[in-house]
Amino acid sequence: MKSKLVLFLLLVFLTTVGADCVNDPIVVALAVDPIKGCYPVNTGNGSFSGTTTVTLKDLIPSDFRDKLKGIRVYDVSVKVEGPYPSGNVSGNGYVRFDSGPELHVLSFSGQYSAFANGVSLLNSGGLITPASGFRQFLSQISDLNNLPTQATLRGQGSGPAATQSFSVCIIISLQADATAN
Amino acid sequence: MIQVRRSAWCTFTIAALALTVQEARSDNPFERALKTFGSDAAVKGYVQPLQDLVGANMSSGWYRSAYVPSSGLNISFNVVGMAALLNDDLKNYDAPTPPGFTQKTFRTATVFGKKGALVNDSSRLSYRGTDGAINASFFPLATLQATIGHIQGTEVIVRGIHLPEVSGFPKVTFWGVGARHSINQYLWDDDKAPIFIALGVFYNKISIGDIVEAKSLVLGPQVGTQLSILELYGGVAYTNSTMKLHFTSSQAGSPVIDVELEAKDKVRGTLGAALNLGFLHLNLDANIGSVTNLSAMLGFGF
Repeated sequence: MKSKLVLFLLLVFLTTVGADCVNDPIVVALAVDPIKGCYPVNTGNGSFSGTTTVTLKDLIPSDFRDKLKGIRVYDVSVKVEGPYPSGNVSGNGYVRFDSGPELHVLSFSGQYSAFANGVSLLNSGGLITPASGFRQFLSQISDLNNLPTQATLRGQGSGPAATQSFSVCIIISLQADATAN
Repeated sequence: MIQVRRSAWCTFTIAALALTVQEARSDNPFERALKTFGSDAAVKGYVQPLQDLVGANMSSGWYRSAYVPSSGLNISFNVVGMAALLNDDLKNYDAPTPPGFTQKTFRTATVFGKKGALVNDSSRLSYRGTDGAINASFFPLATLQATIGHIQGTEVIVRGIHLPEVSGFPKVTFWGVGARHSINQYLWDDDKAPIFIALGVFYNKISIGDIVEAKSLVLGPQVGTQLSILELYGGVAYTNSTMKLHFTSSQAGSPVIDVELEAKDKVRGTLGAALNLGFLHLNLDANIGSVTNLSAMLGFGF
């Protein structure tokens, strides 16, 4: 018992001279699943159009869903998946939160081949440009007081006539802040 | 006046010392913070200071003298406290930004830092680092330790402690074993030795929660001299300290993170003084490397 008492006194001393605590709160930054919409290109006329709806909280790991502190967008990219033809593609991405207005988030245009490995808005070389609703999109998705329940991503565009099926994908990469304690 | 802060850490320490056993939860805030990292590279910078501090603590507190008797039965029981000092360099690190950001890295909190930093790209996209988990000015470790000897100028040292999970800090299991051998016995009789010289080798292992496991090997000589009840001693040691982290990330896709970290320090120096008051021994030493730590030992024995 003596050793326990001595140990107790020693470590109480240690706690008094500098070791504050576990931080409260600890806000952790989670790279959550992206909002991704892939839109099959019509063989024949080369156009594409479609929507993808996601429930935002479903993207968050279940451990953190009730501890969410914020969401931010850290990348928006466009990628072609499948045997694309040669020639130019141009398109647009739109997002609607719940039943709000549809926001024109981005436009993209360039050779299909340029999008084969994905093009990021962060380093797009002019292939992707933010559109008129981009700022509002960033603002709304990060507004925790009015965090939307659902986001509907719509992609539409056109390119040269295609003979094989492939898709144009719009990917919105998100990071979520949540408390770990 | 000593003021015990009503904080989670304090609660942890006091409760741990009372050796109360609490039911372990599967995850605590410390583990949850770690699990939010999605790649080995990202977690390394965040956790590296923990390894440097744990490594420094595990390397210290093994001895309170350079004197190792050449023969006779000697046993001592000790309580050892170590505290590695946290400087600002250990509170922040340069974390990578996602590919495409103009700024390739940004300075943000380590596990011992404060708020995670936010980096904004010219495209209005942004990225944030995780907050630090532990707010401290030093990182402590304490253990019970026993020394028994001596045959042919050799003694064996064992140490260990188990602390249950309390208030958000995971359970800690720590043990170590070491041996020291007298060198001065080959030069002088013990009672005629002007200085004492010994060689020691020590091994530690510590587990923090289910996801952190660190090991440390320490090898080096010690030199000291006795001035009545006061003994001055010092040493140089080669240290090799590694830490393994293994967990499934909470990030998208739940990748398994398997990281091995190595402490920066390879050579550490020790300077200390001890008071020998019959059965009671008290010492304090400073251990110097890229991380400085202090260790104190209170011992009873003969």
